[in-house]
Amino acid sequence: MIEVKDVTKKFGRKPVLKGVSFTANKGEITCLIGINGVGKTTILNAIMNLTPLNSGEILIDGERINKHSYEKIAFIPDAITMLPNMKISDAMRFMADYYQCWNQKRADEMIGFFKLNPNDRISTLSKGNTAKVNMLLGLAMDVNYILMDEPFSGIDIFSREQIADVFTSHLVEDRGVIITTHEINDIEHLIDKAVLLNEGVVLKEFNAEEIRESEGKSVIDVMREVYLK
Amino acid sequence: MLVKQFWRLISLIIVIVVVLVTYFVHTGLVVAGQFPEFIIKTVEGDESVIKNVEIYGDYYRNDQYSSPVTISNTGSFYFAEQSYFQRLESSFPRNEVSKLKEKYRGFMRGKWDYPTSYFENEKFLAYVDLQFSTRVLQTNYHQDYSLYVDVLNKSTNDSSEFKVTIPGQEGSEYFDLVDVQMTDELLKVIIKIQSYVDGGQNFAKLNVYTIDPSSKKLIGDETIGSTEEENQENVNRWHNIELLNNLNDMHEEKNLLVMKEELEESKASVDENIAQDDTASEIINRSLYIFNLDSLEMKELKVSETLKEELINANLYSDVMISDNQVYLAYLLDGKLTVLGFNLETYKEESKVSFDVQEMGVENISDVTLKNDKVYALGLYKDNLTTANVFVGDVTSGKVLYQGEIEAKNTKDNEDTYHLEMYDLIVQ
Amino acid sequence: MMRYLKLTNFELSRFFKIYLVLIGVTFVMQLLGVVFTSNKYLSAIKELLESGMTQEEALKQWGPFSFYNVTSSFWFFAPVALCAASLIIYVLFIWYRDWFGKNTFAYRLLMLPTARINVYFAKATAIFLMVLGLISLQIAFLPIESHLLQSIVPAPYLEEQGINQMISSFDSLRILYPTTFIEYLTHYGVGLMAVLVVFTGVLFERCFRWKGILLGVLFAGISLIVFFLPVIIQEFVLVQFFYPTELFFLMVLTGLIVMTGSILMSNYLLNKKIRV
Repeated sequence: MIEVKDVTKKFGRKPVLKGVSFTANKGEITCLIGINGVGKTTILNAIMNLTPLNSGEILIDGERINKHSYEKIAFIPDAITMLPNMKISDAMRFMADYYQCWNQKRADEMIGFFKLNPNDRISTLSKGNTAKVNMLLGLAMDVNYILMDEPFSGIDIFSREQIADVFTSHLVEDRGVIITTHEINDIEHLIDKAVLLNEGVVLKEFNAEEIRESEGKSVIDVMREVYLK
Repeated sequence: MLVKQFWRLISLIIVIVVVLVTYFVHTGLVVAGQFPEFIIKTVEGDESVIKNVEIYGDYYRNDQYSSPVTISNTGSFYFAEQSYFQRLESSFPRNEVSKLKEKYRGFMRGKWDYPTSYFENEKFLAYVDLQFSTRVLQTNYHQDYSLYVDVLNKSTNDSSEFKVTIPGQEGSEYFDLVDVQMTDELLKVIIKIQSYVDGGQNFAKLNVYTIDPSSKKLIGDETIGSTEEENQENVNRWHNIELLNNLNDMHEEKNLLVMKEELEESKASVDENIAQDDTASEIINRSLYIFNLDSLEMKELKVSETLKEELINANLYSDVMISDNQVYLAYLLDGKLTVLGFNLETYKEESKVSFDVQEMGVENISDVTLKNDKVYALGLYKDNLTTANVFVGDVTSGKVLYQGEIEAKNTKDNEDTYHLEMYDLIVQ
Repeated sequence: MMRYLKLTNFELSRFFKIYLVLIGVTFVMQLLGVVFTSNKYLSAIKELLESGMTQEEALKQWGPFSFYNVTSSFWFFAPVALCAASLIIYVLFIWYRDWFGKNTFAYRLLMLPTARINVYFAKATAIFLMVLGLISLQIAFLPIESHLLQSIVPAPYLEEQGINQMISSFDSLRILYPTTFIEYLTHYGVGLMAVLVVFTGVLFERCFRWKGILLGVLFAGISLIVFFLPVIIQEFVLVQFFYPTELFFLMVLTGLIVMTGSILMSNYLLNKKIRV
């Protein structure tokens, strides 16, 4: 379980997170939703210890993040982080070099699934293929949790479909996924839990399935209620 | 696999290690082979005479590199052969102060390397440093001179440091610490003061300041000799005053040999119209005095007219030797090295021995040392054609004790062009 | 340890092409320098001989040709300056390229399952090895260049020099080529210390941006004062109190303190304050 506890964060004097708390469980897809503003990416960065917090605490399976945590949790930022002059195969070798949790078999499987050529250099890839490689580098790790930052932004429709297929496949099965997005359409049917954020505050945290069954509302219905109130 | 992955790292490290190891080994060999071995070779006489002799000079090769060097009868040691820390730590060659620094490490902290500043006997080790601060009086710079004193009591290992200002500094221009002595637990500090009188000439005086370390006060101020009056008489003539004792000797010596010289602007320089600043001078009179630090009295040595003439024309060596109630003074005249002995009670000439050093091949003498009733003379220059000689004579009997020369070992005479310049002959 | 070595190797490979180009440029330019300077000299001699001078007279006029004529030329010095400037700039760039490159590689480095200080160590090691590599290769080039010189300039006009004499004619670069091993250690130790302090300064900037520049400069200033503290004390407080050897070891100590301080501070910044 990833626990975000009362996290505040300021950029200069401007508060970005004002006491954000939520949890994300293993085996569930948790979606951080915000109409506008930053904050979502900051939360993911904070979970990965890529930005310092002003206060609050984040625990991963009860532990504060440390160097071993990076074998248990993968982060897929909104842009690829490998060097542009690397080939896809170089990037995979880099991952295999440093991470024990790297699963080459799964990586090869995804190369086939996404129809990528391992000898292509990252700098020559299309936007869609770049996003796929980015996705691959995170998903081919045998980790408990995966964080994805806006996986669908700025990508063509066919690539989106392919990436969306990933969520229903065995690639994310049994893992805890936190995904941020500002447009929910592509994945609404996939998410287990939604966290609605606005201006650095959690407005509502709810289980999508429960609310569908008990109140007959979709996630978008709840969003409409919360944001347009 | 590992090699393939790390080939950049591995090859870079191999290049660095191989090249640097080769470089340092090569450099070590070059440095070792760069400097030939020199020894003092005996030509005639007993080698044991120069056992405690060390010659100090500079070695030059092909105008490309050079190094200070010391040479003895067993071999040579170059400045460049010292370890890094030896080079940092002590002066080259090691002097008396270097030895004191090893023995009294705490006391010697922050003290300069000049043997002149020290006095040592069985009970005390004293250090005096002339210090000054500059202040501006209207438009003139004025130096305030003071004496920093530190005396170590060897038996208790206590030291007392204090500062005293030098009285009567007005009109004095330049102070020079000449010697430090101690009699009856009172410090006697000898200072040469040079002054400039407006419209007049430079004049110099030797002062002895008595300092009581127990009360930390200056209790006496005596002028040994001054040239103030003489120098005002004639514009073309002036006087100089000098102490001829071995000032590097830190041990007790109650008698100071003071020399007054009278100089005249030489006619040659006026006639030849050379640059005005470059006036040559000629010595026209020399007189010698003994100043006793106990009685603070000065008496002139009685010198016959013929001897006086010799002294005026001779090349006089400072660093006299005082032994058995006699003061010995060496000078060179017409290729002969002469040592005079004066009795310290009668102030009369008591002995005079001469050595025909020119005939013995000792030419261009760079240094003459008097020690242990012997006179040592050292040649100035050596290369693969010229030899530099070493000579030792007995000052009481006039016997030649030793003749030797500096010899290079294992040099390829035809290939190497080198030369040695000698400065000092040190008797330990 | 293995990850540190991997990272070091990785940092090396990221600069290796440019590094090889620097080495190549140095070698080629210096060889050209040998050819040009010696030809210029020989044509000057030839002119004198044609005007009726004997060999001795010509030699007297121009003096013999030695490697010093090469080392003091633009051809020799320019590539050395280029290498030095490149590596000095790269001390900063080795960090900033991870943030400002086309893809933000800093994410990748900071999320490696290893202590983040290893990234710092790897970058420092890479810089340090590249400096030592260039220094070493320059020494290795000298005999080759000297050999070429001998084949161009005929013996009577050539004054032969050993490697040490060539090096001692570098003047300003003398500090890079000490003759004793202990000096070598101290010179390059001080160099490594400077790299570590600059790295910490960069990390301050990366953590606090504009305010970080100020903090970085402050940190460097404090490091400088700490390192030179024995000298400051020797000059102003306990005047001439320390013996030279003591001063040396005190500065070794303050140097180690500065290095430790830099590493600890960087470790703290990387773990607690860094942001992508």
